[in-house]
Amino acid sequence: MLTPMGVGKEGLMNLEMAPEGFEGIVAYIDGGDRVSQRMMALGIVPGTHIKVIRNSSFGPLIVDIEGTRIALGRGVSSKVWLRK
Amino acid sequence: MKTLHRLRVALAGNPNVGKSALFNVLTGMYQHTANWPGKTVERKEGFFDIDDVHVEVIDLPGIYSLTVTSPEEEVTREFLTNGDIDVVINVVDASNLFRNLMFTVQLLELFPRVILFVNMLDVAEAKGVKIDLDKLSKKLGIPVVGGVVVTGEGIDELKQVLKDVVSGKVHFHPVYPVYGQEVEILEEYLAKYGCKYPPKFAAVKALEGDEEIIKLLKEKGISVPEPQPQAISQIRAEWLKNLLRDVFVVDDYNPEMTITDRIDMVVTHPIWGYVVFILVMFLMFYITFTFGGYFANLIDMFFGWLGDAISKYIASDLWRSFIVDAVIGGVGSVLTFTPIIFTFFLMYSILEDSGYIARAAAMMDRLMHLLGLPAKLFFPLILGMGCTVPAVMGTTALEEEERKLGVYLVGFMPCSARLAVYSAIVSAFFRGYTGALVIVSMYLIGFLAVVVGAKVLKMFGLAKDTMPLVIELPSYHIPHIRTVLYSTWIRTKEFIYKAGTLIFVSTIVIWMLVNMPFGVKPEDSYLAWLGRVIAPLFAPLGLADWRIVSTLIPSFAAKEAAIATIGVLYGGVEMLKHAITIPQILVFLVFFTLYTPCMATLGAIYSVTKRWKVVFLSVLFSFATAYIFAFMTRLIVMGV
Ligand SMILES: Nc1nc2c(ncn2[C@@H]2O[C@H](COP(=O)(O)OP(=O)(O)O)[C@@H](O)[C@H]2O)c(=O)[nH]1
Ligand SMILES: [Mg+2]
Repeated sequence: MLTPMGVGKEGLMNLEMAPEGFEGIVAYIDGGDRVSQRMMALGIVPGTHIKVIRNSSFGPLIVDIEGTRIALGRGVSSKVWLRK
Repeated sequence: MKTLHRLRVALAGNPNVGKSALFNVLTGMYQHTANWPGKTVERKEGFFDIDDVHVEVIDLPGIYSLTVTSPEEEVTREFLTNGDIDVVINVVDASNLFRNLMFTVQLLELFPRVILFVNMLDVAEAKGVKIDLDKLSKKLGIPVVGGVVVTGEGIDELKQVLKDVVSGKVHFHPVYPVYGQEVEILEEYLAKYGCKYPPKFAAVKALEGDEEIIKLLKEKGISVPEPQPQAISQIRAEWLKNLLRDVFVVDDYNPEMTITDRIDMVVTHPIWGYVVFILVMFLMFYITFTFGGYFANLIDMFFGWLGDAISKYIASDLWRSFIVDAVIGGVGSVLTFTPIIFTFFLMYSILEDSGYIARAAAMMDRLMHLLGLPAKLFFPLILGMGCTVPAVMGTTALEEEERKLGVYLVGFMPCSARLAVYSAIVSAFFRGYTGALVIVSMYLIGFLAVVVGAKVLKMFGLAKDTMPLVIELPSYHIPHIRTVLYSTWIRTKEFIYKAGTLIFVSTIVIWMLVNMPFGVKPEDSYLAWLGRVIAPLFAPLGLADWRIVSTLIPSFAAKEAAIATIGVLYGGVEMLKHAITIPQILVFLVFFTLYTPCMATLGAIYSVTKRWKVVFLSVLFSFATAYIFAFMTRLIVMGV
């Protein structure tokens, strides 16, 4: 389903693949487990504006949501799908 | 003046919003900490008077949501439902208003009597954010007070509002989002049939997929529609955004980068970030063990001097030894730990309150995740190489689920007392590089035991799978000195109270084992007797000599005691090599590294978890781990 660019079939961008500086809207979050609950509690909610601050092969993955900085583990970040 | 009114107040809100600072400013010295029943989550209570009103305050743990996914959330929800409180002060960060109010919306559904304290107005201003507090109050339907806790701004106004609550002048008419038909139908149903939570709250949470509430409803035979957590969050977010539309403005003049952004350019950088991390770790380790260690030495010297001074006045050999070695020694060993623990907590609190710990966790997450360990455990693990006691105390920084895991594991990291024993023994057996190699291997084995131990604990359900990292990186703040000092002092006091008794009693027990019956030769002491009794247990490890087995017993009081015991039982560490072979000493060292750290560690575990069960399990677990690792070592170095 995924193309190497991390673009899903609906034209969505996976957060894990999103380059630094990418800005978009949270489209949806996979799964309904504790982790996605936690992400939503921190403001990663469908419809909110998101900006990728850091995402390089070494360091942490950091996003900006409505002015809040959030660091995410790589595994969980792949659950988040973004729209331009 | 006579106290006429009593008001019970809870502080609630997200982490890092200034709750603790507000708590300290309000209550001053009048506070104490405990744990929530059955949890290792800290519960702080205090009180203060406003004229004739006696106010009791409870500081609830910082959380982001009222859906239960962690013990912190469970505690808060339970307390707000059954806690007999009059009003909640919801502290929010003005520079992060939207995200903070997402919690407020849920809070109001559970408990409508909320005063909103909009803190950090100074930070918001620096960000170019202006908030119309009156409008916010009108729109939410609850009282709103703005302030800056660290400068005291807004505190008097907050107290006035609390007074007005008592005199009935304040009204709470909160407004709620409209979540749609499914929630409404369920809500009506719940209103009719009753539920321990308010109907709206329960209905919303059920549709957000909250397991506890869904179970509760199912038990009552109420059918719950398919949960749609994302839709609910989205409705809430959009409703809130709409509400806030003309409440706050972000200045056109928006400084390109805040101070926090500038610092983070370096601190979370994929290369420089690690450099900063290593520097901070080094400083932390160095200061804890040199500064803290300096005072620890002074205390140690004082008790040594005290022992000498007193011993002159005691004629009986038995009583002299008992008073000097057991009683004074026992009190001394409790107190020598305190400067190290105090220094550690002082620095940790500073790093935590300044916002650095969250960055460090973010930097370490990938590596720790690969190892199956919670990101924040790196701290205790590194400290563990100095002393296991502050390492265990350091696990308080982890969330409850992860703390349990940490408490079981940090003891495997070889502490400096173990290093002293390695050095003494290794120099008797090995020359040059080989010796160094043996010592390095012990560190590697200790670390391996941490990683393997984590897997095993999860396998046996003693610890849950660690939650992947999802943390807020708060803006950097200058720590509030009083809050830092208070929490440092309270944690240190906790250690002295909780761990002190255990350390003291065990020092006395071990003294009796070694010295009783009084005046006999070492091989006739109770220690020797006990050593002979347990020696067969160690035969499968190839350690049949009761004397080497006996050294494990006093090491229970303090690891470095092994050297003295070997000295007594063998007539010097050098003599050890005539009685014990090289493979045997390797097996012994592995066992020695991993088995129960020491009584002070167990005391620290009790002080952190407040549960004897965890202390007991940790003894069993480390003993089993040590045994298995030693057995495998035996297979490698001695063959089958
Ligand atoms: N600039 C500023 N810093 C604050 C204010 N209130 C608290 N802080 C700082 O914010 C940090 C977090 O505060 P703390 O009370 O520990 O937050 P808690 O996690 O909600 O208990 C500390 O470093 C405080 O000194 C404020 O109004 N303005
Ligand atoms: Mg706090």
